[in-house]
Amino acid sequence: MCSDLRLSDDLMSRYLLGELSEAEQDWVEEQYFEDNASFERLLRVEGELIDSYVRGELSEHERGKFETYFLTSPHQREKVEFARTLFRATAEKGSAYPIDAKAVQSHAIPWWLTLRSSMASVSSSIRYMAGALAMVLILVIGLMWVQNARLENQLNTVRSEMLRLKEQDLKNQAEKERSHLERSRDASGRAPGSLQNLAPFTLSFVLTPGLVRGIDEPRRLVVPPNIGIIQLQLEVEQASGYRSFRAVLRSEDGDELWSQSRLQPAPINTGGFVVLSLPATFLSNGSYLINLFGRGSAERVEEVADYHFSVMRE
Amino acid sequence: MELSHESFHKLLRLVDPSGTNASQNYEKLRTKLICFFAWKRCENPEDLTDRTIDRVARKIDDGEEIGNVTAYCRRVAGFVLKEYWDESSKRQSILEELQTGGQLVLDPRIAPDESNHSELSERRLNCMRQCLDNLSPDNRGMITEYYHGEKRAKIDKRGCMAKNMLISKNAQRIRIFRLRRILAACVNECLERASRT
Repeated sequence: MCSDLRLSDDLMSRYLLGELSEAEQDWVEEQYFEDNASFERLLRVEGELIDSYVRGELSEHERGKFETYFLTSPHQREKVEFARTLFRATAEKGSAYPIDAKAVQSHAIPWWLTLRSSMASVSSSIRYMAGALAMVLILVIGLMWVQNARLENQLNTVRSEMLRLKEQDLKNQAEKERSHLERSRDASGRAPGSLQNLAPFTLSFVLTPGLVRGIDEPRRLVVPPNIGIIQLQLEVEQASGYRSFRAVLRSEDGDELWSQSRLQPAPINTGGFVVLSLPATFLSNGSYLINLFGRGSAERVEEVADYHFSVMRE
Repeated sequence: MELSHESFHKLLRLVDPSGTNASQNYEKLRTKLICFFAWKRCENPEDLTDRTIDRVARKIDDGEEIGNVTAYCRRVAGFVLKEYWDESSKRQSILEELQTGGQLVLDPRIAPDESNHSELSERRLNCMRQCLDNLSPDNRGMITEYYHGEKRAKIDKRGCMAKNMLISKNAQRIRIFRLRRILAACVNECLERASRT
C-alpha cells in the first residue's frame, strides 16, 4: 500500500495531525530522513499549518487534532508562539497593497499557473492519468504532424513532376514541328539550318503568383528568335472556385497591352493552370505584369493573382 | 553517556565519508531527529535526540558495521520512542489530560492568558519587530504583505504578489518559508541576548 503513497502536502498535514496509520507514518519518516528536500517541504507544511491555526482558519476537526496531537510539546508550542508573534508584527505594519476588484482582476494569474496550482490539490492517481493522457495526445499529434509533412512533400513532388512533364511535352511538340519544317524546307530545296523564313514556334513558360515587384526577382523569360507564340501557364490556387478567368497584360508602367476573357482553367486537384497564348511580338525586352481575374458562380469578378515576369530576347 | 571526541568523529565520518559537509549533515540529521520526536508528541525531543545519537555512537565504538547511518538513526530513534512511551504513568496521565483538553489553548483567536507570559510575549514581539526591520525592504515587504489580509482577499493578494514577482505560488511559499526561518533564528538569538543582559 505504501508504494501507492506520494509525499503530498495533504499527506504531510495528516502526518503532523496524527491521522496516518503506523505503516504510513513509517513511510513518511523514511522519506524525510533520507531526502532533505522532503524534510524541507514537511517543515514548510508544518509552518503553514501553524499559521492557519493561529489565524483561526482550521476546520473544527483540524483544530481539535492540532490541539490534542500537535501542541503537546513545548517545542511545538514555541513554534505556535513564533507564528502568533509574526502575525501580530506584520499586522502592525499594515498593507500598502490595494485590494479592490479591479486590482485583483488586472493581476489575474495566468491560466497555466492556476492549472498547475489546482493540479497540486488533485489526487495523485488522477494526476498520473491526466499526465499519461496528455503524453498520448502529444504523441498522436506529433505523428499526425509528421504524416502531414510527408504528404505535403509528396504532393509538391507530384506537382513539380507534372509541371516538368507538361513543359517537356511542349518542348517535344516544338521540336517535332521544327523537324517537320526542316524536312519540308529540305524538300523544297532551301538550305537546312536557316530558320529565318520558317513559321513561328510556340514557347511555354510557367508563372507562379505572389512575387512582389521591387522585392522579389521576377521570372525571366528568355525568348529565342523565330518564336511566334509565347504560351504562359499561370499557376492558380483554388482554380476550381471560378467558372472562368480574364487575364490582362500590362507594361512596367501599368499600361494595358492586351487582355483575354473566358479563359478556362486546366485543373490539377484544387489548383490549376490558366494558359495564355500571346503573339511573341507583344513582348519585347522589359518587365510585365499579368492581372488575373476570376468569375465566381454568382457572377462576381474578383482579382485572383498577379504574375510578374521579364522578357529577354536573344 | 556523553559522546566522546573519538565517537563523535567516527559518527561524522559515517554521516559524510567525503568530509566536506560532515558538520552540516550531522546538524541536519540532528534536526530531523528533534522534529521526529516533537512530531511524535514527546515533551523533550532534544534529550531523546541526544539519547539516540549516543546509542548510535556506542554501536560505532563497539565496531558495528553501519551502512546507512541515517536509516540506522531512524531505527534507533524508533526504539527510544517506544521506551519513552513505556517509561512512566506520568506520561499516560498527561496524555489523558491532553485528551480532555485540560491544559490546552483552545481558541487561538482568543489571546492566551498573558498574565504569566506577558513579559516574554512582549520581548518576543520586540525582537520580531527588530528582526523584521533587519530584513531588506523587499523581503520585509514580501513577508508583511503575505500575511496581511483575511481569507479570500489574502489568497487573491498572494496570487497578485506571485504574478508581480514572476514566480509561481509554490516558489513564493518556499521563499516565505525561508524568510520565516531567518526570522526564527533572529528572534531566538535576540531572546537569548535579552535573557543574558
